Amino acid sequence: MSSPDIHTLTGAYALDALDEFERRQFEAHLAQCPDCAREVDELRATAARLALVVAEQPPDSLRGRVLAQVATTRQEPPAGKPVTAAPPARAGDRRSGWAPRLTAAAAAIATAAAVVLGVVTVRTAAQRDFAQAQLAQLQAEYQPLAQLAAAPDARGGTGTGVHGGTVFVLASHELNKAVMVASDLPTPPDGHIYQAWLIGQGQPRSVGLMTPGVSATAPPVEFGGLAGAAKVGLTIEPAGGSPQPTTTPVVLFDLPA
Amino acid sequence: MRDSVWPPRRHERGEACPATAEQLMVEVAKGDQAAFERLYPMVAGAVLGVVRRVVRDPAQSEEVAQEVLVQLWRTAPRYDPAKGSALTWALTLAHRRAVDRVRHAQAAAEREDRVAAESIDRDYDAVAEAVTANLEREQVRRCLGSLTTLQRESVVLAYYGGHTYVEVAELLSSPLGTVKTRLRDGLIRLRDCLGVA
Repeated sequence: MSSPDIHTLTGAYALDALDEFERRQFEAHLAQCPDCAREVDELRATAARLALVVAEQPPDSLRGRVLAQVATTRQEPPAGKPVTAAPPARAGDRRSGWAPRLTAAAAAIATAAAVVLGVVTVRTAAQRDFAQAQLAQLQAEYQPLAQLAAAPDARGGTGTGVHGGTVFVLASHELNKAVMVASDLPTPPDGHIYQAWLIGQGQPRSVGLMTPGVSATAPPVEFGGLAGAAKVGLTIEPAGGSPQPTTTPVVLFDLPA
Repeated sequence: MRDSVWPPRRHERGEACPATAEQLMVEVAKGDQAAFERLYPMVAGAVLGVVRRVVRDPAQSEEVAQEVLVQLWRTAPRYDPAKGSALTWALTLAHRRAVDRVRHAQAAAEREDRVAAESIDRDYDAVAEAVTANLEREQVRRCLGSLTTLQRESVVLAYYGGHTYVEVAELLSSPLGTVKTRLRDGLIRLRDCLGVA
């Protein structure tokens, strides 16, 4: 979110002093704001010191119950969410996947708008401020998508990540513009990001960086210069990006034409 | 007590092996229950302590603490040492769950009664009283003392009281924006005073 005010919520968030609504909004913001995430980590470590001073001797019975339950409890997979293979996009089905995605974007905008307009009851002015900021952000983010979708030759295509998640590209060769939206990509290793590439005859050309995190959907990446490009892909690169891909693409599919 | 209770594991090879909580978490993430048993005494007391501060009811507190400790086991594969120490991770889970428990369990009206009935003085006094035994406590006490009154009251009510900042603002009769800011700059001052990396 662009509102500078939201950064001040790192303290309230680290202390779990946000209600569920604002917590979710802030976590979406955290995914886009590495500085905030770092500050939250430090403030949580600080809050933990407050917990240490109220430590008490736990009863032995607690230990017994915990260990017994642990012995019969399955652990979660490392990625944070189970890796399930998304069905591959059907070749030739150009529109597969993007209509629902636009619908989801429209629904998100509608929800935020409903809150702002008072259709949904909000408990506090803070919630309304959040919704307003979110609405402005969503509108800014999805405006290019809406413009492109209106182009007569707009075509969509979807690629499936090798580690899960999907990438959707909506392209108009007439406008020489495209928008990429990624959903549910696994969080890249620390200090790394996803970099998007257009691949044609010559060297791959970088078209943007993406940092998926706590929120499932990273903001759309808008790009042009479609002439001569045949494929679009994503690689994992060190933070800041690379001049040329240094790893094997995790997603690679035909640029919709 | 720690080393005599649990049978030595393969990789210990009879060494004293004073593993850190972070090293143990690596083993726990692989499903090593013996490593979890060794981790348990390092985190259980603080987990129970913070849950009890927020939840208050002793029986419910133990129940939540149990949930948290099992959650620590269950989610160990997702623990990222770059984000913080294993103890911080455990206490983050604990505080979050304790807060969720009191916020969900209580009907809105009941909760408002609780908010109204509580006094900041009692909260802060209880902490101040607990904060006496050792160097760590002495340092936290000193650092809490270095905050402004509004910073300290906001942080204490939010953390130990488990209140949202909206409730904290109500309790302190202060504007929402001010409390939001005090929570952050209070914690930052505390961080710098405690020398948290």
